[in-house]
Amino acid sequence: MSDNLSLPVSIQRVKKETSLIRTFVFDHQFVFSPGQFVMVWIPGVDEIPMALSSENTITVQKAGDATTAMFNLGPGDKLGIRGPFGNGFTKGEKVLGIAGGVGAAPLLPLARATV
Amino acid sequence: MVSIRPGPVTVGGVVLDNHLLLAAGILGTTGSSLSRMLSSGAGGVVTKSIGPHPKNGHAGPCLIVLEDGLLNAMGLPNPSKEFVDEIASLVKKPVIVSIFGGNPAEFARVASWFEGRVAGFELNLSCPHAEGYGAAIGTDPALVEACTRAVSVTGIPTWVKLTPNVTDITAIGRAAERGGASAIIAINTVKAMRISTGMQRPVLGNRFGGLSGSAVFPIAVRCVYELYEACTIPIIGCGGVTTADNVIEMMMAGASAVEIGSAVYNDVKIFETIKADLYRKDGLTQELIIGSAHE
Repeated sequence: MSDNLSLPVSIQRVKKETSLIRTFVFDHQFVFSPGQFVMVWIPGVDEIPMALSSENTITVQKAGDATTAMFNLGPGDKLGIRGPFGNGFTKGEKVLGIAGGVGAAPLLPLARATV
Repeated sequence: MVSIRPGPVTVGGVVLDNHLLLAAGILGTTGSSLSRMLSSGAGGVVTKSIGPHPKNGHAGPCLIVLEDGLLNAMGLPNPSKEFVDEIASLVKKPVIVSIFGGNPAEFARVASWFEGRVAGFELNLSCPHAEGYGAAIGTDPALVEACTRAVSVTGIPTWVKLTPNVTDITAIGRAAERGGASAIIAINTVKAMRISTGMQRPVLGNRFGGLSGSAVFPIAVRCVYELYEACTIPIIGCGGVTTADNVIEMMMAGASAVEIGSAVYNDVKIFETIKADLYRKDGLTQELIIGSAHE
């Protein structure tokens, strides 16, 4: 085992995708496989699992306490990140991605890696 | 290394397949994960703690992996009475259900749901981070005695898990013994915290939590050793056991069996791994090992 405390990252930019979905851009790039997730710590609120939508972004739908708190954050605010965790998607030569709503976010890096 | 000659193992009224039990709180929330641990070498399993009402537990972060242990503040999340059905398929297996309550009546109520369905009870009088439960009760000898008696009167084996977060653990061990405990488990996690210097905040949502894993092994050995001199009922060693030699050390301190939890994180087959090293036909009988470090 090695100490696996959260890595503090700063939010560089928040991109409004829809009225309920935003992409948070970090000042840190993670080495990851498409489909892997990170644990996102919003201090004082909760820690939630969220798939990476690119090496330095997560794309989040406002749904509960933690994501509602995230929607109040902007450039310069900090989040704690642990991970990436999970195995990611199995790689294949040809990929058909099917997803609904914000569920498309983890498929974006897969599509980019396949092109 | 000292090894054990295989033979029947009965501890605190429960017949086990070997000296190694799965500790409470690790892979203990579903019947299938408990079954998997039994089929991968655990001599018995202890469930996640079940209380009088369903609980969601603390807000995250709940678990932090450290270099030599785990730091957690789960907050006793549990489905309460629904858990009876979850472990229905494990009747007659060496399954110990861990239970908690805020007073003796609550302990008795939760225990009554499982009568005839489990091999025994483990009373969680030791969780260091749930207000009104666990160590909030387990640091008071009178309450420990009363809660233990409320369950031991059922006649079902009643084990009591102790907190190390007290000045004198033997006072709590003796209280459990007076209450009719058939065995005591030492120890639950050690109250602890870490702070993220980058975030300037405690890393756990609950701020405080409990430390387990190799880091607490010397504390657990000390507690078992002290309890062995103070109590006559069997002791089950728990806290940072990772190797067969750790098992032998716990037993020499006075443990009749051990529970293993955090070590499962790095090796889900830890029970098979340890068993392969622990038992030999030309090994010592358990009687020659248990408590043998005492003069």
